[in-house]
Amino acid sequence: MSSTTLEIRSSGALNVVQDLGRAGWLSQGISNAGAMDAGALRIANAMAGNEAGCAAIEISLFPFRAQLLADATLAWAGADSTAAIDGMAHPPWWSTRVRSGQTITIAPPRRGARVYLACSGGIDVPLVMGSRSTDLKGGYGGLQGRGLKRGDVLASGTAPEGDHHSFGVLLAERQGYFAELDGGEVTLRAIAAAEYGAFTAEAQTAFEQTAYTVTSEANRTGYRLDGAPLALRQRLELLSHGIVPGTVQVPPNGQPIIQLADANTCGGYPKIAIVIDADLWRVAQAPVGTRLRFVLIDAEAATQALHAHEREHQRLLGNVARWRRAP
Amino acid sequence: MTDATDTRAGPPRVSHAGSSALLLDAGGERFSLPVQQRLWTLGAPDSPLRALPWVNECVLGVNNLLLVYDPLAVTPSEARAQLLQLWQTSESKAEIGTTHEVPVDYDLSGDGDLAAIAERTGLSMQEIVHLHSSAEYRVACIGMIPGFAYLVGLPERLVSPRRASPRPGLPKGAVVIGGTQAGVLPITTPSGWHVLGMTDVNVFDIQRPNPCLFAPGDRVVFKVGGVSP
Repeated sequence: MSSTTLEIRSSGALNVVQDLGRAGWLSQGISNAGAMDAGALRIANAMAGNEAGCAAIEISLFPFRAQLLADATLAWAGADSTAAIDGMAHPPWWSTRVRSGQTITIAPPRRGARVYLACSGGIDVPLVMGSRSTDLKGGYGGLQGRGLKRGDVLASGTAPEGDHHSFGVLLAERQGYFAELDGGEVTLRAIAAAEYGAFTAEAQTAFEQTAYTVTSEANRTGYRLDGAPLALRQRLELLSHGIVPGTVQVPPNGQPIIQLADANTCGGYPKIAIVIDADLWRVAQAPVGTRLRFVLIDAEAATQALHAHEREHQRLLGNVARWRRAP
Repeated sequence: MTDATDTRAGPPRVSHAGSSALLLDAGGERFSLPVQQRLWTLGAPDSPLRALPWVNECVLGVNNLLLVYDPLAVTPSEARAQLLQLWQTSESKAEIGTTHEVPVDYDLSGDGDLAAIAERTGLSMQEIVHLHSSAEYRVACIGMIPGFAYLVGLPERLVSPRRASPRPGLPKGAVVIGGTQAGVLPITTPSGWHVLGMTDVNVFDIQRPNPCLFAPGDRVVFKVGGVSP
């Protein structure tokens, strides 16, 4: 059962329906897609009383406006954005009950790049290959395989009845990240990739010692960066090979590209490093102009980082669930 | 190009391809069909590798395989050891896959890519059509974009460097060649490959339970004409 819940009142071809992605299809050339900042999506869902894998709206063009066509609990997380409901301001990372007819406006972020707007019951679009995520390149998933525009109407699934008090979360990890953005520079942990050793000593030093700026060519497919060019010791011809989000490729011009959620499943450019999974959200929330600094760690340390990240996340989700039941 | 006798591939290299991914690179600089045949076995849907509970994805590449694992269920060093062990015991199965016949409406207009290749190679347009449509291709792997099959087996004389800059919006159904490989575009996409003609065979359709028509190891032959207008 689902019912129409939201009418989009602002156009933004890059505002898309996303869930946790289309896992298990890489070998068919199908990108994972899914929320660029999966942690923010999971928390927005938890605040709205949803399962972690429900679909929400990933907003990267602001201001975003939508009108409610039915009562619903809305929750938003991700970038540092204020949301106004019929003009009443609410903080970032907040959840509240919204009545049919009311309008929510999400302001451009003070810090960060993407906001996830979850709705009780989850956004209900057809499952395509096991996911509701929009794949813009393939033209499927989400709402007709495209970004949302003014006049689109979205349905949501049936939501369990619950308490409808307003609350928000404030995460030390996110506050620390926003402070980094205030300084214009974000640190990313990465693992050396197959061709790391094929780069010159100067390139290896530059990669860790200098910053790479996010250029305007930055979207769900990948971010092109600008900084000290990374040269190979000698020309390399690679056969096509599978890549995952986070892969830092270096095309012949020496300027790195971080491949992200909608990246092609195979590539042929040399790879210097891969941003660890636990830090992909830090890329997702870095606006154009942010300086990125890479710190290389080993694979065991990356696994430990992921364990720590996941533990912290589970603890937080538990707290949110408890708070929803008994504030 | 696809030198079926090239077995010079040295010991495989396994590298970290992410905090939950390993890349097994079993090839040399040039494509080796015997190596690819072993990889088809290693990455097959019913393979022992796929049956491991911590394996999330096996992505075949050209003479390589990307393994995506659950980092909360296995350590990187255990995953690496298992991958190498299964590779060392994997064998190529001689005959796998099905054969697909793909009718092509070749572009003989004289102002398309086919004519440009004729100009560059000194072959006539008819010779290009004959060479392309009389070879038998194998699906090395699926990837890059949804449902795109990397076809190996392109005759040496048709090898054509990819364009320096990709063209936007080459149409779904375009029959293309690029470098030493051939393919059929599954969706409309930017591409640096050269278009020889069009087919109405739908190689990628999300309405099908298995959206990809081709699978690794399949054979593909192109035939002249027979495309519905």
